[in-house]
Amino acid sequence: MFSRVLKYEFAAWRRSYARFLIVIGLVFTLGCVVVALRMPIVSELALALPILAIMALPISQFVLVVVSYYRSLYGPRGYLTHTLPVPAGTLYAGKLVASMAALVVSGALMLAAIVLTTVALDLSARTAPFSTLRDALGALGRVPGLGLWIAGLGLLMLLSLFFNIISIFCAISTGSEARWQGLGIGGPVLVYVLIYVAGQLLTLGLMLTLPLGLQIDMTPVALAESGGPLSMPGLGIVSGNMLMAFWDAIREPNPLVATVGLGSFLAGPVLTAVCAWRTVRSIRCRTSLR
Amino acid sequence: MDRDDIIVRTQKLTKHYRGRPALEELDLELKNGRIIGLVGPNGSGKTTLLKILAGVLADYSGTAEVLGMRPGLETKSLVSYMPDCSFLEDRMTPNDALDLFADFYSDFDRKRAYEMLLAFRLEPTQRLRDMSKGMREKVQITLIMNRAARLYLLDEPISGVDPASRQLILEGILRSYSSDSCLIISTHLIHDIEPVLDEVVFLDRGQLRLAGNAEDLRAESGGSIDQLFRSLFQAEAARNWELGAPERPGFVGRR
Amino acid sequence: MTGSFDADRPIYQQLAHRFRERIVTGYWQPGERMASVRDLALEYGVNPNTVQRALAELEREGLAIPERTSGRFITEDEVLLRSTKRQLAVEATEEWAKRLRALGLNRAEGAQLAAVVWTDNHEPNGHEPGKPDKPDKPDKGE
Repeated sequence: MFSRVLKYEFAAWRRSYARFLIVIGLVFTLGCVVVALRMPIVSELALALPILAIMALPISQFVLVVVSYYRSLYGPRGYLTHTLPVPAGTLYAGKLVASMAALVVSGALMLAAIVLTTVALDLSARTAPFSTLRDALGALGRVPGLGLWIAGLGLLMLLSLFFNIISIFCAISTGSEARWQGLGIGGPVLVYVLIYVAGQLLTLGLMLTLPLGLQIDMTPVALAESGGPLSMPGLGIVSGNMLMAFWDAIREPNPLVATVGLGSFLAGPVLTAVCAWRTVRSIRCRTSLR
Repeated sequence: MDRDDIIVRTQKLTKHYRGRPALEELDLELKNGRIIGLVGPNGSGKTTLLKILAGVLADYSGTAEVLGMRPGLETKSLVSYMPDCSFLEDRMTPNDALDLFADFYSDFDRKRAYEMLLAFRLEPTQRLRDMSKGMREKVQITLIMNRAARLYLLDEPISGVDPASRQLILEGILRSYSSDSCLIISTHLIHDIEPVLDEVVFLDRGQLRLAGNAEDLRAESGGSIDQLFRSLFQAEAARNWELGAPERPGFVGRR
Repeated sequence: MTGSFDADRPIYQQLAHRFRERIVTGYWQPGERMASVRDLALEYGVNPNTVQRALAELEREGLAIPERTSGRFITEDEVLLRSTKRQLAVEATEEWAKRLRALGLNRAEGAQLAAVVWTDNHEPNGHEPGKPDKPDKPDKGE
């Protein structure tokens, strides 16, 4: 059943996104070609096109994912979606997987587009293609730990995207229940604000109560700034009263060694799990289509 | 027709839209082998009742049962519901829609549905957004009526189409309908569907006003169901008008 | 579709009447197997249970004979067919007479009128009895 749901999610995605992608791709290609052609003034202005396309890609994809979730469940099409003999969890999982896949694909396309833009710039500057890219990768290798940091950041971004999608879906589903119905689109917005506030409170609460902390040692960075070799901050896990660490952080805004309560990292997963559970429950037994 | 099952049962079924009653303690019992006309003026609760039975409206009080079950996952494979809106993606073609139904509903007869599409003179590969409202309605009727469901819920199935297509749609309904199921048609165009009805349920402001066998009602009132409908509701509408209370709950707004 | 039925009489009675017309005029031949309930319902655009009820009427009168497995057949009872035909003719004539009386004509005037109107080329040639007077389906409604 899950594979069938996925199949139709992707079919719907293909039907609605194909034209978008073609338009963005055309704009991007046009911009890159003009940049590479080294035409006076025009080429410099044309650089705006690939940059615009690179930004439009993930933004439009994100909007599309959110809008199509709303439309397929709470617009007129919801009458079909909600009457299919598919368990709510399966339906939800299908939408989640398809949405994440679409976002990851657009992220990958964005990276590819960035690489292609540097190539176009190489061509316009009469340097060898890919030389900018090669230089950048070379710099990565020279700073110890930078590659790991970038990978970590990438993973963190992916996770926060996942959490965000789940909380937005939760806001849409919960905000479309009967109790918020009078507010129209305001229902989901209001619920999203509530989820956000709850998330902040949860983050603070867990950060202060869980006796584990992440110690960030900025000494290597400070050394690098005063002329030493390039280096990344040191990381370590410490235990202790995080309320004290928090207090220290408030008193001394820019310490060399800072400790952040690890509990704050727990807030995301906890909130996400609650949101997912609540969304499935909403789809299963609290749907009220207008 | 050897079995006589109760397909739909509601007890004290009540639904309010922010204080405004849409259904008010409605008690109903509908059996198999019947085509039932659900009639009433705008805002009498017809659409609300169908939504609850289809499982897309959860926030009600009282009981609603389809074959003894609360509307939910188990009943969805037994209920074939046509809402009063276009529930298919604009970019789909009728063929896409047939595939979707064949994939999700094990009781869907794709071959018969395809034949019905052709009988409606629809192009199986034309996108829905390039079709007129009436054509899209025919696509939806084709999907809904070619399932072997136990309960069919058709919300205003003929309101948007021309008289000739109405005839075709009613034929489609009669052709596909089987006697172990129950079919509910909500409409305010009773005149057109009167001959196909077994029973009529008159709703008025969310309450049961009158219900019974169509032939018996005709015999008792000495006229058509359509005339009966008019006499039941027109006097009242006129009275409300005179009282200057057109915003009386149930008479305005939501269907 | 309602246009083809009178509002003031139950549809099943009107349907039974049309079935009788088809039988006595031979449109449905004696001994012929009748169409299924579903097909008749589709042809007349009425509820299958209404057809069932009309057929039950015909069975009670002996015009239609149910067979356990193979459906219903038209009776081959010549006497019954003749008497039914006469019955229908009497009813039609009564109806006619009633209308003329309502117009203020007397019996002699009525008979005279009938003799004048009833010419040979008014023979109901090729008229299909008991046909549901549906409008012909227009080519395309869109």
